Amino acid sequence: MAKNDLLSIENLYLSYRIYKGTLKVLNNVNFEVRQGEKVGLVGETGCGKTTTMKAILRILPEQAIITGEKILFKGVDLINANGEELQYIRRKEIAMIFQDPTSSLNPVFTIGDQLCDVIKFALIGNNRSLKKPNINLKDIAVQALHNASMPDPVRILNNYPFQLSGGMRQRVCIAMALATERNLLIADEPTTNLDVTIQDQVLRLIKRLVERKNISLILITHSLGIAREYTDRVYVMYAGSIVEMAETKELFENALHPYTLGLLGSVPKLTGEGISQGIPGSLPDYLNPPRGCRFAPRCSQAMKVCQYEVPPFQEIVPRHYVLCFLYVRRQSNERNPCCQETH
Amino acid sequence: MKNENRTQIISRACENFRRFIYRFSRDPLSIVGLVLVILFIILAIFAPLIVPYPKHAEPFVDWSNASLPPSKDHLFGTDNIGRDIFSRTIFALRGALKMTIGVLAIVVPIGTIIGLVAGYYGGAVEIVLMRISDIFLALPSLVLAMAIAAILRPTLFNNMIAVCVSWWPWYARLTYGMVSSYRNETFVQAAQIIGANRWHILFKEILPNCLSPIFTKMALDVGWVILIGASLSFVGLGEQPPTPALGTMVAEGSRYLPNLWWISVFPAIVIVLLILSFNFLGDGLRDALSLEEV
Amino acid sequence: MSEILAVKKLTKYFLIKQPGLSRREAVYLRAVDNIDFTVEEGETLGLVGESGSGKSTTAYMIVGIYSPTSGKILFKGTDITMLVTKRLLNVKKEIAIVFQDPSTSLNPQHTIRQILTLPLAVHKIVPKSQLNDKIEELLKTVELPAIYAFKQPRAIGGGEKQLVAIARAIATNPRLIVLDEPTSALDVSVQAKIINKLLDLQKKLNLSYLFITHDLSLMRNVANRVAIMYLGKIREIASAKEFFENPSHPYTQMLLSAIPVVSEKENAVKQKKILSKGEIPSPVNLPPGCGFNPRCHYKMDICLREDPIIREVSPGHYVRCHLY
Repeated sequence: MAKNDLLSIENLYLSYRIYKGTLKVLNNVNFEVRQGEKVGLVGETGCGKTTTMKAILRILPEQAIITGEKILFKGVDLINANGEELQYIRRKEIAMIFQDPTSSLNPVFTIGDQLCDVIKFALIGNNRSLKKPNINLKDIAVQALHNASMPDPVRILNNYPFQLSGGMRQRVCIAMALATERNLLIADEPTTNLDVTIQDQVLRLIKRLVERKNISLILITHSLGIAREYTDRVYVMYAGSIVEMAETKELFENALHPYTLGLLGSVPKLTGEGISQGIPGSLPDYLNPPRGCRFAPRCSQAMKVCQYEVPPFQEIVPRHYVLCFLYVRRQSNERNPCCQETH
Repeated sequence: MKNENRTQIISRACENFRRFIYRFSRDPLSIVGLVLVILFIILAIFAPLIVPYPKHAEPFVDWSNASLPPSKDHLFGTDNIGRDIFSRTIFALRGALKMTIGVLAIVVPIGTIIGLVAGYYGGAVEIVLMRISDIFLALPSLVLAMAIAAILRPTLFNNMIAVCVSWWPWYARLTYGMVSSYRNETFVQAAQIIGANRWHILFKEILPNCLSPIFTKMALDVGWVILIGASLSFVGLGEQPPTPALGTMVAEGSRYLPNLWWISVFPAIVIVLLILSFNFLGDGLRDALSLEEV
Repeated sequence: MSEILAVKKLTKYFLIKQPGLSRREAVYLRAVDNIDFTVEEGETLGLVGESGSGKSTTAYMIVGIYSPTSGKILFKGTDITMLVTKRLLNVKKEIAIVFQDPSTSLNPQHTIRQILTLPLAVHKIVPKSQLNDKIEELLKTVELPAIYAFKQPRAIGGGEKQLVAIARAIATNPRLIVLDEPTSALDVSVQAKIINKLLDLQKKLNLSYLFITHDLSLMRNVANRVAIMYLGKIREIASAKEFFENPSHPYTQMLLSAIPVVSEKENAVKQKKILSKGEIPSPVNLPPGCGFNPRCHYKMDICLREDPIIREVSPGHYVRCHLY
């Protein structure tokens, strides 16, 4: 963990107990976010991105078993943190926005009630009362809504969630997340359920707000386009492992991992050049994941070694890491045994 | 292809069964419920062969052994005319379970079909059927059942009719609610677009999706029906003596409280145990059949 | 090429509130307002729009789930402007639909075999003895293993479920398939597989598609002609090439700008950067004049008073806007 890392996940493994056995979902996840950085976590359904984020905040169901080194946030190990430390972090440090704004807001309370609650808990001191009793929660709430580009914030405070459109609800969630000072905002597919033009507005809003206050952002998305436009650095995740990581510009111009290339090929292009055939096969069975590289069964360039050994996560080009035997460098000059083709 | 068919169907059934068992056993009480229910059913079916004094369920008098407290020979004691309470209680289980099966066998199909029709056709049909069921729901089931049972001669069969009349609306309403929401699901619309007729849509598309809550409700309802049956026989509207019925036994024994407490208390405990065990079973069923993924 | 589908002045208003004590007039939700378009044999017409545009309602009227308030739907020249329950059986055979979410469009209690048997049995496509073979053939056409016939939808993945939905749609050899956001619920790599299969089937079976989506990048690669809808009206309709090279309506330009793309080349295609502004109004409270005026960067006085009529700006390219 480097010195200016805000959040650092090291060697995280996570499994779920189910009736058939255990699902070995997360397989050695390593993830860092620095202060003020916008990091994207890209992957398809079932790859484990939401699970990783929930592991940070420790909001996983009881069947989850975390093993692994550390999840360090500002020096505090979240895996072993006690209730008080976790509560402090959830109230004041890390905020999370979820995919569906309708289910993130309680339908029977007004926006004002919910917003003021969040602010109150963020400002509570150790003795369970507001640090400065003269603070007007409503003012802070109005300011937060104003920052989130909500028209007529005072009126909105008295509205119920059902009276707002999807885009406005998501903006309320953003206001709730950033009403008080935070260091890290985790946005889990914040615009997937929204219309394209509204999505554009909401993402620009998030970007503006985090840049203004130098807040770190983890943006989880399955849309490569969104990752490209709103992040500084991108992690690509597949079946519980990080398969590639690079700065955004570098990743989109020089993607290396076969999965990333497959994904980029599958995205329909506005230039009209047709769509690739997609990636054959499907996600591995987490009950019995492949012994070696988890992508090997679907990889057109799989080699013999890919089936038996997990590839190393190596820096191939400065600040561009790949989890793939195709790029493994050997020290010696001997003939590279891993370059034998299969079938 | 044919052998593959069979193995596929069997393996899918096994898979579903294993998942069902896992979910069901998550709560140990469900297993307790299941075991007790099976025990009660076995006791009821084989009553004449199991109980120590099978004759005591028929007209029988033994003054020499009357009013004995619980002992080795008479687990639950004897009543005021010398009949073994334990044997009679086990025999009374038969009446309780017979009534339950009878009621549910009538109420579930009728209520479900009414709910299906009301939910799918909507309009005037829906209004008429649901308002009728509302009327029946507005009257407390026990009171309604008592009124009907009092009009007819007091027998087990008439008790069943009485409970049926007050019970069917629950199933109608349950099914109606589900059908109203399934009616707008895309798989129903897909079937309509393909050109399936109404029968197919009602019974082959919608109904299979409604079965799980209906089964769960049935299991939980057993307790209620037993309780109402016991209440009816408690006030004298049930199987007439000397046939043992749980409620009747509690009523007769209440005269001798608190001295000959065992005459009332043991049948009452059995009623409670019977209802509890079906409730645990029902809870377990609901957990096992729910569509949430673990 | 002949016309498979023709829609004329199609309108659907939903009654929201009856006239009563507090108001004199009824309140309607104008989901679809007077639209016209055609689909030729063997082509794909794309219908693009965001929520409230009326694209799904249009699709549902074509397949007969809703009956139109006014207007006509002509299928191969025959008037089919009625609910599906009233249509002739041989019309139902020729029009199929693929819904957005395969988890709810396939009966969760049925096996794949039962799901595929339904269209085959209703339209008596094959005699009972050949049913198994036909089902195997259908599964093979969508590249699913024959074993899947005995699985239930919950046992297979989203993309595979959608392939089953497609197999069900082609079971009766239809002429027209309406696809309502068929890949919106799927991951992008799975979407690629499904789209390629759809295009492949279209060529093989000479199918016509009415393809509905909000994803313009997808539309670019799928449709022959594109129509964009906003608040119940078609705002622009043109061939795909023309639509993307010369987007004329301000809403089209706004939508194009808002799409996140993965390469610089695509950014160049977007041409203008129009920052989207404003919320999508509800189709209940329509602004007077042109429905897009609250959000339009080129708003003029006339836009607030008059609703523009649709005009041809170049051969085959129609726009509904006062700018032209």
